[in-house]
Amino acid sequence: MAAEKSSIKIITLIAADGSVFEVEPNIVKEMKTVQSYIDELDQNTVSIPLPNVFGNDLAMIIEYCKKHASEEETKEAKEEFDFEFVKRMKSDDKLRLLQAASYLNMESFLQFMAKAIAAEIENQSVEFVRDYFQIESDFTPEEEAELRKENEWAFK
Amino acid sequence: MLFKHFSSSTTTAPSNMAEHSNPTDLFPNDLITKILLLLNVKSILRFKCVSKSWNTLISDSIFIKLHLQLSPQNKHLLLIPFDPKNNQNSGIVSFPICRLLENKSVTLVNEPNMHMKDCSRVIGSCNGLVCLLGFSSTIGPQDIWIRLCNPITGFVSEKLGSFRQSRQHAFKRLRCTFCYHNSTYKVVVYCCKEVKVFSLSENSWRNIQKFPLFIFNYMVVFNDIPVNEGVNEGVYLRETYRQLLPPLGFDVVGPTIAVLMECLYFSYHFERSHFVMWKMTEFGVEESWTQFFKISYQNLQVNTFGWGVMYLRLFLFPLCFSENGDTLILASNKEKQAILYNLRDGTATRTIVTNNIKWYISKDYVESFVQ
Repeated sequence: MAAEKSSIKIITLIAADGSVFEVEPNIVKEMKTVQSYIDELDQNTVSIPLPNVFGNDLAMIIEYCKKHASEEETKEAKEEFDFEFVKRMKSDDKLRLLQAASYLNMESFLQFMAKAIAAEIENQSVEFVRDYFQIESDFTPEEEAELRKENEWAFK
Repeated sequence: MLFKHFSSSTTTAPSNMAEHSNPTDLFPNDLITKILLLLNVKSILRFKCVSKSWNTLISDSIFIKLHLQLSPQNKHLLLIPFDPKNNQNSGIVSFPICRLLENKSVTLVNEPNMHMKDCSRVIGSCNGLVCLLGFSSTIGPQDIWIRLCNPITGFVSEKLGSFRQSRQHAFKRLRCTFCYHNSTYKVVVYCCKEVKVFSLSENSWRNIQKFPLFIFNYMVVFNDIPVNEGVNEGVYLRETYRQLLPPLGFDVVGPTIAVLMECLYFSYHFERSHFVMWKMTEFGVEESWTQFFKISYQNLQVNTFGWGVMYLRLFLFPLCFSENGDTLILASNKEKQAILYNLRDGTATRTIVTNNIKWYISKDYVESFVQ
């Protein structure tokens, strides 16, 4: 079994919009959802549909995985990459990638995205967060005023 | 219901998608939880106002428990500022240890803080819950009670475990400690050669008879000096007592005991020139005492003026370690600032807090939403 598994050379990932990505096995190691699928098969080529991830997002995730799987890159280069990676994203990109990370069961990438979002919303206003997550308040003005009063120091 | 997240009964999961009254709020709750857990408590509390589902999520016992599990990465001190105008403690304030180490001037203004109500002493804190002790000031026997509070959420319990004590054994002579053990919170009180334990789950006191005076004896000797009472937590874990011999017998000056990073420490002054600290590396094993450090007063930059006079004598109380364990924070009864001793390079600096803080009664603390 082990020998057969390692004989897989190329993995094909098919995104929700039909776009196709061919990656090496070490790239998908962190994607536990994909990995467990591969582990159950004993064939040389695999093609895996990912109906919950869009092509653009999958491209970014693969880019991230490639960088972090590389043994040639220094720790500093990876950190620099992470910084730029987050910088070019809008808030809804981050939220979508977080959901994709959750779907693909990618522990460290999930934590990385959660941190990026947390850093953006920490110490921000309630209105900022509603805007960020596109949430409409369902409190009545009285309810909200009372809740704010209860936690007064948090608004100073 | 008090302290609900520690009960073993099955708690309902955070509101699921079906309960969402807000159609735009479709982002999965487990991912929101992941993000919230990375925020400071101030932001988390503030974001209760985002929507009803966020409020439910943050108030949920599962979230509170997850948040508490992460709290050791974010150590705080509970500071008790003193208001000289009214000659009383003005409240309790939570402050992150990492910010004390920054070598910057700090004024406590917007930190979470709480008035002590009808209580006047902070016994200690556990899981973010702070235990307070109060007493009546009427003539005759004294009523004594406990309250639990959480400075973060503003929660204050009703009076708990009220009891009456004859005046000569009253408030000032009580030695207390607060701990979490066997799935409940307990307050241990030593008074007039007797020890009693209040268990929150039973809401009653239990006496431990024939308590030996060993450790307490020397604490009583220094009755007017606040002594760090942390050792009790270890001693009473099984509600039986155990006699632990300090490393060197008893002929030491200014002994203190402290529980830091789950280890028992014993410290004292050596020949009017050094401060010595021992660590019991394995709790309860007297052979495991090892000398942790010996610092000269010169290095600590402490003033030993008036050494021979009891009430001028210097006392040093170890308060806590920084998160990385590199810095020990000490309180001196003679200084207005706490001492920051760097164990790596052996240098000492001082905190710069502009408020009037009674450092020697500060307590180790973690911020949580437990209530």
